[in-house]
Amino acid sequence: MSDAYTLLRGGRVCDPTWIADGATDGGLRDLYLKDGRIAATPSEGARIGEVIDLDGRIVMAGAIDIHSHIGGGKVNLARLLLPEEHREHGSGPDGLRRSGSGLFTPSSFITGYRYAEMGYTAAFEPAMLPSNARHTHLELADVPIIDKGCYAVLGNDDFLLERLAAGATQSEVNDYVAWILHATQAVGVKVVNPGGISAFKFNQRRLDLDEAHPHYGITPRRILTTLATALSDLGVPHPLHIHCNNLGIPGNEAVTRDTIAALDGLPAHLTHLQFHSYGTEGDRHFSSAAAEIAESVNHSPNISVDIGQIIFGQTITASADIMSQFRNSGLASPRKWVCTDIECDGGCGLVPFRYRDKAFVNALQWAIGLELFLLIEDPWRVYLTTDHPNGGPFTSYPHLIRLLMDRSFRNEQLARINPDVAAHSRLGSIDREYTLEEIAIMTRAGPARVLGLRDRGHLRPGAVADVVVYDDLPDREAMFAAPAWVFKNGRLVARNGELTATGWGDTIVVRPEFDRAIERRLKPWFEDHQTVRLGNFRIADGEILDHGRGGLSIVPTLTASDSCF
Amino acid sequence: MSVLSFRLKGPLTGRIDASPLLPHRLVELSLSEIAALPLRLGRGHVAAGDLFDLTGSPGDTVELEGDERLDFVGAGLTGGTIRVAGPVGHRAGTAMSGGTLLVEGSAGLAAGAAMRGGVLSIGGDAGNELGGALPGERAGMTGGLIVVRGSCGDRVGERMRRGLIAVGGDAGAYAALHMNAGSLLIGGRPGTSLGHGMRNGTILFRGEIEPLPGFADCGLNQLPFLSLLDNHLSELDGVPLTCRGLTGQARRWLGDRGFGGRGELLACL
Repeated sequence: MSDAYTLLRGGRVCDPTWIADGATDGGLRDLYLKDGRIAATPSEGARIGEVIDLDGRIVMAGAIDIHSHIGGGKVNLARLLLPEEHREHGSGPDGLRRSGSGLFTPSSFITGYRYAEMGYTAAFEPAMLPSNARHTHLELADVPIIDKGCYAVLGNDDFLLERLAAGATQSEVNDYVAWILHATQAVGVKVVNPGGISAFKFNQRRLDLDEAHPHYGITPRRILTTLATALSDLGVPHPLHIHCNNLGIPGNEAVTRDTIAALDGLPAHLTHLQFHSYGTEGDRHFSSAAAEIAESVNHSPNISVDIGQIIFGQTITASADIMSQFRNSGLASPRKWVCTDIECDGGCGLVPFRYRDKAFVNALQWAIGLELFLLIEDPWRVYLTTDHPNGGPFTSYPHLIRLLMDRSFRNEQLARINPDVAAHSRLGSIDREYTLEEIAIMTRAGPARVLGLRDRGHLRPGAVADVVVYDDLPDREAMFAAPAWVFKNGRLVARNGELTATGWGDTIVVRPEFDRAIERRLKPWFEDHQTVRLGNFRIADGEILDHGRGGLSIVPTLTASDSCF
Repeated sequence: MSVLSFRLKGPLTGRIDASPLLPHRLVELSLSEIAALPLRLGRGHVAAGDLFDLTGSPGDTVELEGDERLDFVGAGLTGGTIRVAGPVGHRAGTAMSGGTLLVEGSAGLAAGAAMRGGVLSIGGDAGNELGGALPGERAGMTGGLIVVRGSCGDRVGERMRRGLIAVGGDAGAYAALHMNAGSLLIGGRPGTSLGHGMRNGTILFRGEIEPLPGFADCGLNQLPFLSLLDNHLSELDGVPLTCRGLTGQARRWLGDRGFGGRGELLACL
């Protein structure tokens, strides 16, 4: 604890949640940082330590990546599958950084450094299978600087499916969901291809919303609504994080719109929407349904989305959706892939992929992602992701921001890709350009709000002092790639896009109340079917805290008076 | 022809990455620049001049005093000659695509792994994964010639696609594991699980073996190509005598049928 303030003087604060006060001329404001938080303007005579003159540069809160596969079993398998990526892109220790490697599946330390250098101060691992939770947390414990959190994957786990088939009540499901959130130290729940991963194990290769599971006889609709209701009942701020059925199949826009309709006003987050917005029109029976999906999202204030934009080049797709990964395994480039079963929880598939700008399908995928970004009107409900590494690495975010903010740059890129795409897409006719404020919403305030992070994503007094200062460059890619200053918890960690200090962020979790009696049902299940016992399955706080190296930050649950949106 | 010689100043304190010491790279540098060249030593770096006494002038030949802790000698070699007096560490000649690497002593692990061309000659023994594949790669050696006077370890020629490996002594287990094509000559005794998973290619050896169950016995054959191969071997430098003298008669097995393979095991007479 220090009694001196750090003063960031005269920045153009771009914080859409800021209530205009304390502005100096030209919209310039001073920010005071103290003890890792943003402080209110101190009284005369307070001790000011360091003063940094921002000279009108743009100031934003630290960016938050709501969906990025950065740790856990499947990322590790992806690293093993493409050793050449790590052989060719390694770096040694330099006194500040530890050694590491990788481009699109960077090793844990490199992940933290690259995020921090780009002005990101939190990232959320979206696919933590409960049985892989300990591995995931151990790996994220080695991601420096940034805060992190995980979504537990449910909806294909045999316990839930069996209980639903046996007619479990909603309150039993609620207790189970809450128990999983506690036991796996998660901040939300994701459902991947509801019922489909389990159905795959019974030789089903496609599952629509109202198609009964071949063994349990329940439908994806039932799984979705039960889980979404559970999170709403428990007051978990982040609503159900949904990876819809039939990812990547032309015509899947119908199931995506049906999913939105099935939720019937329940809050939910649809992830990597680009992969779920395909129609079947045209000679190739593959077309953009972005307009229809965007309209559906625009009319559903309960829905937030992230896009999963694709970026041309080599990457690897990593997903729990073994049904779609097995289907796409023939497209693997280089020609090697892995699909595995994960005990009683789901599955995991890794398929390396090269998105080619001259290939019609890939180029149209690129256009569909951008169309969704531009046609969904409310920036509070659409977040910037590439579904790292599935659409492309998170390091391409600055490029993506430029595509959104700079129409002529976007159209230049459109002119370079497969020429049929311009004819099949309305992208060229969309004039919208994102403003800096909208970018601040979609990368900061929006994700913070939908995750229930009350002290992140904004720069009001009391917020965690995660502050990013950008030079206002006309080339937005260069601007967002190398921020002038990045502060994490009030400490300078990067300057002009180069790391200057490192440290450890918090693990963000949620702890809803529930009835512990559910363990009476779970204990025999673990003994009969799982490789670990219930007592060993649970991750203790001490494992995350690790004698002070890690931290826990608990997101408050919502009460009836709070509203998610 | 100019030769640049590196003589060790004293015992090494850790493993050295010697991959920068390639003739075509050094020829562009002055002696003082070469002496300042950083070489990886453990987690840090050391200047080449602090490890070695340099004599001669940079040209198309580099002479090295060998040590078991010198790794990556000749890795990525594209042309010219590297002569090593003594042994080398791991990964010697990894991914070399041309030129000649002559090691008078023994080599450690993965010598000539992922080799695409050129000649690697080892006077002593070679460790595991000689002419093998880099971890996770679908293809191992895709060209060039490896000659070993002594014996070699396990998994020689793993995932081999093309090229020739001639081992004068014995080979370890799983020789030519998942071989796709190419030729492996074993002058001494082959180890267990010879040719497991091979789809194509040829393994030549002498003596009795008990092949894996995936290999079909095709009986004794008179194969004219063996004399052609023997002629070819006579034109190459340093092929061990134990690999020579092929009469044309060989007992032949085809496999590995468990993998749909049509590779050959040839027990030569």
